[in-house]
Amino acid sequence: MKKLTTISDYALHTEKKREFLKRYGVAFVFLAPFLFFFLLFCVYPLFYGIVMSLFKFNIADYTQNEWRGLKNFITLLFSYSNTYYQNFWYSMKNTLWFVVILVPLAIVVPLVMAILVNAQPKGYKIFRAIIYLPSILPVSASGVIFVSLFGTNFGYLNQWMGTTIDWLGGVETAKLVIILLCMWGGWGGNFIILSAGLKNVNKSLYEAASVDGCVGFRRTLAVTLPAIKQQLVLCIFTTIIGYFGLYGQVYVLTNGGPNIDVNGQAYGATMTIMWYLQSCIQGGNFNVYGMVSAMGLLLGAFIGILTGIQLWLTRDKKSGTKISAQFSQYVAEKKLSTATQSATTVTVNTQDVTKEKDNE
Amino acid sequence: MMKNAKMFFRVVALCMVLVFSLSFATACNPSGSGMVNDLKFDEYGEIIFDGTELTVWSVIGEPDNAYLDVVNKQFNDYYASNGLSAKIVSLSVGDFYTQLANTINTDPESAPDVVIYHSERLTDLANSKIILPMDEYFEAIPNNDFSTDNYYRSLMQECMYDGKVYGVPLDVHGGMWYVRTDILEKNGLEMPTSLSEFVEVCNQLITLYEEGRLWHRAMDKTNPANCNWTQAKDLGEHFYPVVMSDEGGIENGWIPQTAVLQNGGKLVGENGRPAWNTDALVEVMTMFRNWQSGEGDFNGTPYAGKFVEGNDDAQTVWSKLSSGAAVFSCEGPWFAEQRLEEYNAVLGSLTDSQGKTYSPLGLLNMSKLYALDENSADASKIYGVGHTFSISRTVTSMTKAVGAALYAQYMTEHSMDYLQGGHLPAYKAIYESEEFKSQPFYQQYLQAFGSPENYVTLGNTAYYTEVYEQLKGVYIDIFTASKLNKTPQEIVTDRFNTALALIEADEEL
Repeated sequence: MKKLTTISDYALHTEKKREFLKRYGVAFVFLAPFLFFFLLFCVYPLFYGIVMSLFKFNIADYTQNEWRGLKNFITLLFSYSNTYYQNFWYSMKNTLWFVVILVPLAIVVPLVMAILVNAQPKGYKIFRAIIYLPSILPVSASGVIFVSLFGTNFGYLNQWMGTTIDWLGGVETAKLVIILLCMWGGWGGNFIILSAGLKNVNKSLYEAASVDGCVGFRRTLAVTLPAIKQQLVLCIFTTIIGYFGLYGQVYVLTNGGPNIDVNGQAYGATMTIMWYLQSCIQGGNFNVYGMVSAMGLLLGAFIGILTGIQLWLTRDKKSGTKISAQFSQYVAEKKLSTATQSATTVTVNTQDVTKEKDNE
Repeated sequence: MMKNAKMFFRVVALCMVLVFSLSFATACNPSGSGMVNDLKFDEYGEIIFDGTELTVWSVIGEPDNAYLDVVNKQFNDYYASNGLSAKIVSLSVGDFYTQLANTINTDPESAPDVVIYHSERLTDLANSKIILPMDEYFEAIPNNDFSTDNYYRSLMQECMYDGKVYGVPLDVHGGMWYVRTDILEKNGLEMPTSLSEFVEVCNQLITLYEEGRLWHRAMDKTNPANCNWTQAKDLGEHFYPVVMSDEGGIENGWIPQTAVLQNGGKLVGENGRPAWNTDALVEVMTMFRNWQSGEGDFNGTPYAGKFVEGNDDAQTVWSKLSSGAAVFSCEGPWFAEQRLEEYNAVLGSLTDSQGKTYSPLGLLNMSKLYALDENSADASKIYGVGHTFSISRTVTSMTKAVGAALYAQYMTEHSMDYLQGGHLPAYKAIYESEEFKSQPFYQQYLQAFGSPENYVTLGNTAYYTEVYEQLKGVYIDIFTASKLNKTPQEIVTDRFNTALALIEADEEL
């Protein structure tokens, strides 16, 4: 049975539809290609990964897939004696170590360089280009340069110094070389972002600070850094996520090594979580994909939590009315005291006039 | 506004349900189907292939793939009139197995019909149903004489799974010692053929070096003056007879395995689990420790000094050999042809002060080199790796499957030209033929590899990575500076336990 409607309802409904299409139609048309690829290459793999993590997932033969529910996650979170648990948390610990060391360095060093270049010393454009130059090299290329530099027998560094240090074979030295490569190849991105932020700092803030006697390092702390807070937050945000995915530098320089012994078990001293995930699926074990998906999801959740904390800590804090109320009260009190003082002065003056008149 | 938001969330929820359902459907969708018997025969009883082209994925890379192509071309020429041909696609070993499994499972149209790969992975592939048993297809070929007895036992054994033939072995090869035979000869020493001789030669080289009487010369293409005979004490670097280390070359993939086999041990035990944690392995690894420190003795004779320097990397395998700072260096057999030519071209015709020429480079296989009892029946065993042909499960046409079986048989039975890359044949008749023995490449270098009969492969295990990689790890740990505080026994035990724990974790998956 057809639904009856009034002309005004029909007109209203049609108008609403037209309005909706007018408002969102064009936006949707422009967004559609992106949405399609986003769904295909981001959302679908994510959901597929979630599904895989719930199975014993065999990439060679789907008929061998077995439902495991949350067992993969439980193994990774609670099965202390399981090798996957041990390797996962060991590589997470290693990754966290790199993140803790690298993130401050990857922010502070480019920041200092950006501030120095922003002062526009002579030839600053050349400096700017040189600083960014390493970032245009792919990790594989810069890795080869570092291998040539830090090789034991034929490394340039050992040859220049006349030493035979096993840079990539020693635990501490291997980590040092990885950090150097990460820094050298990675500071360009943050440098550019921070430089752009510094360019846009309102000059009047500096002038005002100078008038108040705030100059030099104090001005940098009190004016420059707060002014580029948004850029700093962005850099910290992307750098943390980036170094949680540390892989290329480790792969090229040490391939996870050198080998070390922890409680009788062999581990790679520089084995990061991404390197470990990759090594799991490269080993030719066709059944491991469910477990690896679970690891990937846990890593994602871990990064998500950290990012959430970071966003909360760096949020724009609202001051409320407490300070303004205090300030209003202060102003009111000051006004009152000024008024009282004026009244007293006027009274005193009147008395003086009276006295003068009496004397006459 | 509220209504729009509600609608938005409904659409998102619907999308999520759809994507989840799609993911589940894909994840649980069985692939592959049964074989269709489409065999047709002509009036002479021969199979009509009718333009069947086999796609072959091969793990064999440069330079051997060029030699394999030669044999493939011979096959194509031979079967051109029958309408059967094959095309080889070489893939990088790094992601070969993952790519194979993925393609077969998710994109059968692009999957290969035949795969050529390392036979030690066969059990794993058969277990994962990536490859098919081949017996049925050999039987379908009229007047076919395929027999497993035609191939060397150890190599064929690795190609069997569940009592059926899953692969046809092509070849076998092992790690080789590249030896500066000119330095040995000039100093009045001979190529060792057993462990005791090896130790003796090294002791003598060290003694000669320390007494300042060791003659040596470099193989230097850019500076011929370095190719003249001089005293090794004048070398810019210290002389150590052997290049061995945690990352020297690829020796960790051959030496510990051979050490286990030559002392009566097995690499793989029951249910495909590792069985290499033998006392003899510990003893050999202790010996390697002593070679690094120069301390200890061999059968009561103290070592004259350090045999190896350590700290070697992939470059020093060749650089120390060419500079004459070492005499023994281990690498893959595929370098044999190239290195022998190179050394002969530079040093082969050079004479010493008495006008004598020396053969600059020789090859030494690992037979008896790690046998503590050189007279035992196992002392000649060498750990070997081979390639094999199998049929992928995506083949659903009987004609194609039979063509693939025929291809595997032909390629292995006619592999002569391929073998010059540095491999011994798995097919007995080739090795035993006069034609093979008269080949220049056999006489120049393949002869030094020994008999394929001596080569023993890993064996049938679905835990290849755990069994093989952890044994490699034993050797690596022995040469790792940071593990010097651990005894060889502890290293072997820890690595063995790690292998078991990994297997256990895999089984719990």
